[in-house]
Amino acid sequence: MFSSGFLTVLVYGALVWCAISSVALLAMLVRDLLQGRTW
Amino acid sequence: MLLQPTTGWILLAIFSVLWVGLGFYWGRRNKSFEDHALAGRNIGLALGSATAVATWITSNTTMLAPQFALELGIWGMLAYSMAAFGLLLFAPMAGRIRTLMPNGYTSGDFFRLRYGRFAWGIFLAFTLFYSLTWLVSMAMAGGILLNALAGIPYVWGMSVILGVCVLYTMRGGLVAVIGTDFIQSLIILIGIVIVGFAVLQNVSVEEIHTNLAESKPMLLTVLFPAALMAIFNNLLFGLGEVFHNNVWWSRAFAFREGVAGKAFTIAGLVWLPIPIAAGFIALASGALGVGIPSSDMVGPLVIANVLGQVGAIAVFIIVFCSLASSIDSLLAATSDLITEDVYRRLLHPLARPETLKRVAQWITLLLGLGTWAVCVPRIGTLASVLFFAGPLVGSMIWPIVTGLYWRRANSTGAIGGMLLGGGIGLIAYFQIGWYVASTIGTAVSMVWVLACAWLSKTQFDWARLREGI
Amino acid sequence: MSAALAFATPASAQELAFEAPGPLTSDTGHILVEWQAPGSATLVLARNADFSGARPLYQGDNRAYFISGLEGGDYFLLLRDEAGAQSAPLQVTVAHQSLQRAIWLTIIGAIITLGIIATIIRGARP
Repeated sequence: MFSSGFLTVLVYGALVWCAISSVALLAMLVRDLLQGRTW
Repeated sequence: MLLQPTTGWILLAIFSVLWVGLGFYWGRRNKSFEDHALAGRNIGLALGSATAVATWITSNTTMLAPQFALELGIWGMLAYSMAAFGLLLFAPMAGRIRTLMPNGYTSGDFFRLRYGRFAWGIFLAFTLFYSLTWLVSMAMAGGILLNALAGIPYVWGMSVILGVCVLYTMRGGLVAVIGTDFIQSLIILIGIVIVGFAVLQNVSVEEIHTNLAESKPMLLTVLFPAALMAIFNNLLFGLGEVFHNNVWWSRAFAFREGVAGKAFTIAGLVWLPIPIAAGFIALASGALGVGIPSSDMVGPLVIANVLGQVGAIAVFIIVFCSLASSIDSLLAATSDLITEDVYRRLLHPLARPETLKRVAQWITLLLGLGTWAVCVPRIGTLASVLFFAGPLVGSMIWPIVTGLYWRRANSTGAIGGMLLGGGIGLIAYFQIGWYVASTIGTAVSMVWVLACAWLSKTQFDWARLREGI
Repeated sequence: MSAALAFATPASAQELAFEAPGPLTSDTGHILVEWQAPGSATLVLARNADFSGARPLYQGDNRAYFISGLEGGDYFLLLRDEAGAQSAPLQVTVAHQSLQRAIWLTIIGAIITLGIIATIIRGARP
């Protein structure tokens, strides 16, 4: 059976990962915009 | 109904105006078919990554992930996450595609030049079946969801979503699709994070686990047969979808030199946790005491229970964004495929770039109208027709991968692989079940493709992929 | 007199009953249960036909409830309304799919996937 600890790591890990991803995408866009390399 | 219809209409109007406005604004710079279909072949890393993420997040991700979790438990969520491998494994392939076909337009171009017209014909049949059923299922899902969430009549909701996407895709081409995708991906990601943490404010993981162990023990079981089968079936379905479809190949061609590999890798990594972050809330339904009258509504019901009106609005916006970000990509890529492969290559090889751009726009409109016509009668089982595509797209994996890397991969292998894999896979779908169809389709195709490559006496000349372009 | 009152009862009064005509089966451990009821109802689940050790699953005005995550075996469902009336019980039998076949398919799927990854990583021979 999957343990409670495993589920905790999975869920919090996934949420934090998503949060970091959104920040990273924004940061990447800002960098591209500043360097004029968006599209 | 979780929202008042008026609220729903207002939200729909705000976002519709936003997407259409941006589409028209960004689309001003498109002159030729290349601008329209491939955004100038210069998309940077940020937009490239975001568009891959957003396009792969469909309403299936935000609505089906919770349903998968409720039905198949922990393995269900993990199995869904496996679809990220489609993006991760396409990353090196995207670079290879760019190298082999620097002036290519579509995945159809690859099949035609690599394997000849007969294989190209089979490919077109498979990919159009998949693309059109995906488009129809998304449009139907839009109408159904807007109705379930805000009481907006099905035909109206479906028509507005389709209409908005057709408008800004027609006018703005791939540039509009990619630009709006970035905004949509951020909204979806941030929305999922806020909703997830809000659920955890109301119930701890510990409590969720205890509730599951008591009342839904199978969801925590490692050796859960149905869930185990879903793992690789889902992975292979995802690989088949990404490897063959022009939605992804057009991005490989549209990204700036050197960006494709990194963008798809980042996109795959960003996508990986999403089914878990979106899906786990379904596991909390028992602990929260939320009765689920229909498994496909578990996501919105849990969110509304925890966040009330705000949650319902969040669901509405997240779902609208995930639908729009996929419908626009499908419309664009499919109309570009038809324009390049059928209109130009088959019928009018000497057509001028401006003509092709206009043709692409008209085909986008026709695709939209056709989809609308099929969706209006709301034939319930239509959405499930998409799953027939599992063995079909699975059967194309090996022809494509070996076709890109092995000189000895040949037409007999590709044609046989697709027909046998697709055919036997479909038989497996109906005789055994959906959860084996992609696996079996891919397995049969693999055996045939490998055998033909091993027995092959010919060596393909990669330079042939540059000619005729 | 009582006969006249009986005929005066509205025809739309619903009895408390499950929609399914007979016992239900599931090979995935999940099932949608639907019912009719005059008002609010409580859905109760038990492992035994005598309903000892039964626990309530749901109480409210919905007419359907999605049950999932059930292990293999027999289950018995019952509806109770506020007046204390009970419906006829509904039996649900869960028989999970073959674990052996599932493991075989997982192994086959893994082999195919590793093959694909290996081919891509190996790359092109010039």
